Amino acid sequence: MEYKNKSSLKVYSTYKENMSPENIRDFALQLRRDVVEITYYSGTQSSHIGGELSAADIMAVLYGAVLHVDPQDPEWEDRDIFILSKGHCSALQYAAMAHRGYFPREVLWNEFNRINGRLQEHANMELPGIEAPTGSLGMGLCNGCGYAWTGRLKNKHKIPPNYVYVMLGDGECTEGQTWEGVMLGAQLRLDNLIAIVDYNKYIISASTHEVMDLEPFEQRWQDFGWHTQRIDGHDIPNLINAFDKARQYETAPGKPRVIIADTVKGKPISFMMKDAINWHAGHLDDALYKKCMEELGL
Amino acid sequence: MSEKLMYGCSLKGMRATLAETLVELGHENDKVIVIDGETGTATNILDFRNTFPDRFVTMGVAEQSAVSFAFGASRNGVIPVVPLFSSFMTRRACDQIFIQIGYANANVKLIGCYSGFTTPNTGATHQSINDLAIMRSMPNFTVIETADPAELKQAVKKAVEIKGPVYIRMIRGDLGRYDGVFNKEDYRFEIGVSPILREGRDVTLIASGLMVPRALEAAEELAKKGVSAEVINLSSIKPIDTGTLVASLKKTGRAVTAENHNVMGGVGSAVLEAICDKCPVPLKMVGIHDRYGESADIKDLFEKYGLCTADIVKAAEEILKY
Repeated sequence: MEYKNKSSLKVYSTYKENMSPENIRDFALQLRRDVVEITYYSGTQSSHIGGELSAADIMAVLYGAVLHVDPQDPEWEDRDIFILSKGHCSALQYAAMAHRGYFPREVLWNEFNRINGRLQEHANMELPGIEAPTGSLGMGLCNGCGYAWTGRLKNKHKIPPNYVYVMLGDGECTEGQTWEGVMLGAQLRLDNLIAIVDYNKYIISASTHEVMDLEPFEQRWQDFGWHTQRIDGHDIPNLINAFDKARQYETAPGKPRVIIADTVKGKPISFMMKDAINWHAGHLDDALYKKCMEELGL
Repeated sequence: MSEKLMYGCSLKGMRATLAETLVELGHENDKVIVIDGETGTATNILDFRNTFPDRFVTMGVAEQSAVSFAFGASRNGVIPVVPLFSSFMTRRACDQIFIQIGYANANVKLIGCYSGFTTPNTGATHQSINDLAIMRSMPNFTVIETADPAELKQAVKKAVEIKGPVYIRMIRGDLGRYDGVFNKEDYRFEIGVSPILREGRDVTLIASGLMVPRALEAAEELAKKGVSAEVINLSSIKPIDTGTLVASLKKTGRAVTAENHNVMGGVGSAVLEAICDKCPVPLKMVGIHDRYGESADIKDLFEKYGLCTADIVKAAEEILKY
């Protein structure tokens, strides 16, 4: 098929070292604009945009201030591991990876959902920097347990130098395997494992509450033996603090950590937030693309 | 069978050989870890746990976890060996295997134990009759089923030696008559190579796993009736040794396949796929003919479902009439 040609937009903000919370807020806005653009220019003119926008602040904090990775050496042994278990939101991760320098930015426009493109709607291992092939939901936490446990094994059961981060969606917390991973992480005492749930309250067809209620969500993780924090997933300073706390060994020796981040699906695009059920995955035509960009200040 | 050593392998049963091989591998390669799903007693891998407690981990009864965990572990440079019941590994964790081991081309070694009707006292729920169909259809996977303990030991070691995903299909251990040595003395297992165990002119019997000794017995029976049968051990089911198969079939012009598996998608299908455009010959499949099993004595099961030596002989005689 014929693809749309991208006329390059000015980059508003990109990754740099030691970003302040204000810088990271700008970075999150940039990621949201990127996601809209990736969606619009993708080979299918679509992505799972609702959950990408809800997780944009978390992703900005992770790639902007948390993850110790080296895009020049993606398999660096002591790197932090990040697994996007809600793998359908890959466009958001790709945007963040491009800013970190894993691949040139034009790949975002030219290779997402396009034939022979490297950016699969659900990421695969052929793209350096991707740590797990996810997309079939519920697997990421068990992948994280495998990384975290062998990380300890390699370091002779001392605390390893790196952390394993897994981002889950609330919808995928209705998968049984997610709870296998929750039990496993606690049983293996993986205090180098940090999960974060993008709790945007919508699954696909309706609210998570209506479909398969997760509450009392934080209590459930606690009862399974995890250290929990519950925060506003759009509050950047709080996200930074929560990750800082989760990384401290003293916070909860022997316990894996979870951050339950309350978020809004589609944020801040007004028509998506009002109609989250129809924006789990979505197509952006010319008019909707323009409207999104206007709402993102362009 | 005598208690002599065959190619460095003491003459033990399949299950005991797996235990012994894993411990040896543990000593030879400190990257090998074993991931269990609470079938360790049955699959006989607890010697590894006792010898290398740090490198053994159990998931509880959670096959999906085991496979996803193995992927993550493999990314950290270790070589996970995952011995589980083949039925629950390939059916319950099919999606995890497809995406996180196959698609990821992960360096994970899956061992499917208790395959086919070798778990008689459990019935259709536990009898793994389509694991080969599932595993053969996964790109990137090497699929192996060995005929004797010595071959098993070599195959497990080879699987750890090569990079990439491997599925090794095993029977339940301690089935006395299958603990013999059926390959030739100087035999060395190679992926993609199928040894000819007996040469013949009239019909080729192609078998895997515990159907190999039955095929050899069938060849003896057929010889008494004046029929010369060639016997091929199809231990490397994928990649398949098309060259050996085609050469044999060009000579004999008739084939019988034998498998402890549903004939749909298993060894017979694999052979047909390999030869159909190169050497199409009449072929009959001995195996489970698309039905569920039941819990019963193993001898009764094999008789009822047609997996006996006599069934191979009958199939060969029928195909010779074509």
